[in-house]
Amino acid sequence: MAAMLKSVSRWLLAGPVALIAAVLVMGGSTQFLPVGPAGIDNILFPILLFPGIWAIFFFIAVMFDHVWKAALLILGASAVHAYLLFTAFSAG
Amino acid sequence: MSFVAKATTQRLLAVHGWSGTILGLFLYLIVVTGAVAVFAGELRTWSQPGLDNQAVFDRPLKLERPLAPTLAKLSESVSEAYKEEVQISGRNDGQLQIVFHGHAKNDQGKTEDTRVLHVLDPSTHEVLSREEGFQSEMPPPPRSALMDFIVTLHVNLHAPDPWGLYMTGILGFVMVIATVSGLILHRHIITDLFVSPRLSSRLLNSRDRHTLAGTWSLPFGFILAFTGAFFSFALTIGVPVLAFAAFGGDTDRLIEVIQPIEIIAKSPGQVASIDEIIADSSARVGIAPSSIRLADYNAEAFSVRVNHLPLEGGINGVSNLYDGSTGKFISIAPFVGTTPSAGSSFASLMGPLHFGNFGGLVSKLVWGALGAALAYVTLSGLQLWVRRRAERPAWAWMNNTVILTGYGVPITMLGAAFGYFPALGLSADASYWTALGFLGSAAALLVLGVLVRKAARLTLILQWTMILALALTPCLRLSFGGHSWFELMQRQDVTSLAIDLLFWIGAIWGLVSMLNIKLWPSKTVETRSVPAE
Repeated sequence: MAAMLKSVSRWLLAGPVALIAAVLVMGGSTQFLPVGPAGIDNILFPILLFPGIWAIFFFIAVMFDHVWKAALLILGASAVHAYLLFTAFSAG
Repeated sequence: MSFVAKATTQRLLAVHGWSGTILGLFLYLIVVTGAVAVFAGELRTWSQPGLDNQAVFDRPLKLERPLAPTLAKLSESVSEAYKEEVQISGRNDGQLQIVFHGHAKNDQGKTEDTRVLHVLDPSTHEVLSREEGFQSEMPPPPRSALMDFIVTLHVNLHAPDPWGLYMTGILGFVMVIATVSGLILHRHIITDLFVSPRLSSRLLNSRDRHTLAGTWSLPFGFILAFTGAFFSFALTIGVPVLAFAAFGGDTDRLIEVIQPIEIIAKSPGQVASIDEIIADSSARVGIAPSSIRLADYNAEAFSVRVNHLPLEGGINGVSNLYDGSTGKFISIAPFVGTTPSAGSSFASLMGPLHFGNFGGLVSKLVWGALGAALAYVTLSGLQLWVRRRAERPAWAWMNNTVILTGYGVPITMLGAAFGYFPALGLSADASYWTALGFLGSAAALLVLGVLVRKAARLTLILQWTMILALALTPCLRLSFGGHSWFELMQRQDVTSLAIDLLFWIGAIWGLVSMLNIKLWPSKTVETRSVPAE
């Protein structure tokens, strides 16, 4: 039962959770990435790298030996970027 | 040696195999249509009589006489509301196109692009047609319904947006993880590059061939998958999320920041000669421009962006920016934004890397060949996964499905051509008959799959169908109003002639394989069953 729960958690983490985390990181990272000389790098890089961000979270979920460590990393990154998104949107 | 633990390897193997099994058939469809779409320009010319013998984005503008008097004359007949921007470009029927456009509210109260579209003879600048109205009301440019159908199938599977783009984006992502997991799983990546397929059993032979083709096409597969996923998700997920993050949900503001209209210092009353600007820009770059954009044309001062195709050996084209009032050269415009940046340079690579259109026909041939290799890797990977489970009854049907899809995708694309060419010749609705040809052949294949259960017999029928379809396609083109070979030679359209020949070479090759005619001595593969490693 525990093994099955672990397996289901891992695939949930690799599937929908990794996708949601990638979307949050794409949005939240606009707040701290350097804007560059044209003032657009903080917007362009997240959008360009989105498939890569998603793939990184996917492989973290699949390759980490301990699911909880992968969950901690992915959910932690999601929480930080969700907060950045929220503050940016609140500030208008 | 593998650098990951055994349990991780097993999980990665499951990811590599199951992702391919569940979505592999769709992925194969996307890869095959993508390999064909690389040659969309050439195939449009081949399939639609009257189109210029080069893809529209592959050639400089035909500027045979000064543009300034024509532009001034056309401008007088166009209302100020249409002068937000003027675009001058070529058309794939060889004519010149000058479009004035602005914005207005449509019947639904939504702001939409409005246009006055002029089609001109490039030699005389005689106006051949003039259309005015909303963008959605404009007549489409001359096109091939067949290639439009295949390209749309590749882009969004003909599903309504954004769902079609979500699906192709997910398939791109699946390919990213299949290539990366394939890379991690390789125990001997260098030796795998030069593996000689074993002849001891058919399964091991297939596995070695999959490994060989997969190893060589790994980097290319990753690039195609990554850029493809980017194109699918950029507008559907990226733009709304980033507009929410950076501009309070204002998508228009985000687009303005990424692609601003250049505001030039005002010099009242002056209008520089567009021809002098074009001459200066052409001298700087070394070739004639492919398109020209005049922004803020109704203002006292406006900017002129002159776009040039990449020079030989270059990946990206050059856009020169001029002050439209004085004709003064301002700068080389970056791909996005107003000043060069790392983000703009990175973004400018996505298109050429996905479409393979940076080096003319040579780069397209390389991209097409690598696309075909990826299609083989996808299909052979699926076959391996199924063969390893062939003993289980539940997997027997999957084997036939893989065979049906493997031959079925090219056959249904040829089926679309079988609907398209007669419709073109008989002046029927080519888009409708193309779709009907595709769906009709797909339905026929499904019935065949239900009726014929034996894999060997199914394969035989599909191979003969493909040979027949390949042989007949050029005949259909020639029979229903397509240019004859003599006309193609007169038009110096060697590419279309070569495409006809390629169909027949494909048919002959298939025939030689089917009849087991030995053109050269070959080693035989034993058919005994050996468990895969």
